[in-house]
Amino acid sequence: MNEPARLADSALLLLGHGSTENPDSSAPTLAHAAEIRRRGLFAEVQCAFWKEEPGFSISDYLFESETIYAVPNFISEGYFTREVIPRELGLEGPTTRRDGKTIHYCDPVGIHRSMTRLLAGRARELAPGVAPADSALIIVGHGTGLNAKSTEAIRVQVDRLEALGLGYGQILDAYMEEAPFIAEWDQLTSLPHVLVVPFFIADGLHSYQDIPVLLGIESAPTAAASQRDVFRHNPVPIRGRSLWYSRSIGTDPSLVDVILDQVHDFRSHAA
Amino acid sequence: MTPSPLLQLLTERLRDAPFHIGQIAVSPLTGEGIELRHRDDAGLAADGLETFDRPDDARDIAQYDAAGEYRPLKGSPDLKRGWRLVLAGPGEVRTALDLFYPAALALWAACSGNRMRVVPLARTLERQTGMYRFARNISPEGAADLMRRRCLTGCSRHPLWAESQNPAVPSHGIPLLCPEACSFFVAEARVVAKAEFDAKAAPQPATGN
Repeated sequence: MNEPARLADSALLLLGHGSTENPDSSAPTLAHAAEIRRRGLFAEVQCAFWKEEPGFSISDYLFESETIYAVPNFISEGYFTREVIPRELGLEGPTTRRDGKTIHYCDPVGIHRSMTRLLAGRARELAPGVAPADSALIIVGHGTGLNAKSTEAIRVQVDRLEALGLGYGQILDAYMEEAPFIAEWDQLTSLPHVLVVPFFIADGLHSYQDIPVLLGIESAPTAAASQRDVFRHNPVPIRGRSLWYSRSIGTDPSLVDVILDQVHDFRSHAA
Repeated sequence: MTPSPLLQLLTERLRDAPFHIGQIAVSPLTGEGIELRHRDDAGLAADGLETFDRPDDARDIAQYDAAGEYRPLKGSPDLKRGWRLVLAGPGEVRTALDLFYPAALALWAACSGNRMRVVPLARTLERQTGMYRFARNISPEGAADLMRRRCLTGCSRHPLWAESQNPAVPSHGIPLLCPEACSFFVAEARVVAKAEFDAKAAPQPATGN
């Protein structure tokens, strides 16, 4: 892992999607910001959101530091990281200088190579007593015909997980809205244990409410995770298999290190 | 490191007297500490309120209304009552208020320092892309009506962007300022614009003679 970027005179801006419907969508972004703030690495740490407050377009006001590192807490490159955020923040490229401030725009967390390590760790913790050879590991994403980058990020992770030689019987990608469909998980593998890790930022609408319905472990979308008494118990016996369903990868506390890695990498490339 | 101008401004404000920000009353306590509570709970005894003492507790208090409904818009004037948050100093007050009313202190400091840039609605709508591009078609009447419904009665923030010239900044307490229509407004402007479009496209009922 990279040394934590120590940038005591700079600010960190974490950019998240947020949600007007699900109260858990912004929780990981706020939690990672609080942890980075607690570590005292930056002079200031703030968050801004597309669908919550403060909005992206007023994030300029949040900082007194002259140098700001903006890191999208998004799972892939695409419409938000390439169009919405640059537009709303008034960015002119990787580095924008205006009104005495310098804004460095880093890559989104989800495309950093260290995400593979997080996925491997999450899969290991999900079903600790189960032989990997008897298990299929499925990394599930949204998928959309509108943006090829959305699925590319997950395929890259699957290739990297394969390269690690973790011993799983199969490692697959699957999606909510395009083939291979997660709803058909039992047709994608014949192995007795199926481990599903959502490649999402939060346990929000998609990973906590929609995907469990597609998997068949809920018959209808439930209340948000924070409004239920317990998180789901694993494994779920269903369709003749043992199904293990993880929390979203973006809720992993280690994502803090991925955020710092993106700042470190930006500085390395700039140097 | 130079001390934060915003924190200095807040520290001075806390030294002056109790004040309101949105639906919250902020009062220095006798002895040590600063108390935040709902302004409608001002006359209630402290032991009748649930007491919290961490700045981050503000997020839990502000997350749901009294009926348990999620409050994505923190400016919504339905902050629940029945709590008090006792904090150690201006730094903790800043953290808590950033959670109750995101960016409100920063916007207040910018306004105090004449650094506020008010963005007209037309410019906000013109730059929208994707599904929100259609919001730019909202009529001036539709936008004004939406602003009255969503901003004047549905939000505690003061919509500076809706005032044509020299927007008036409220002088009492710490004002909640809104220099630019937010994403909530843009999303609803799209809905209104579509309804206006559909109403125009619908066949007009025949009028009998």
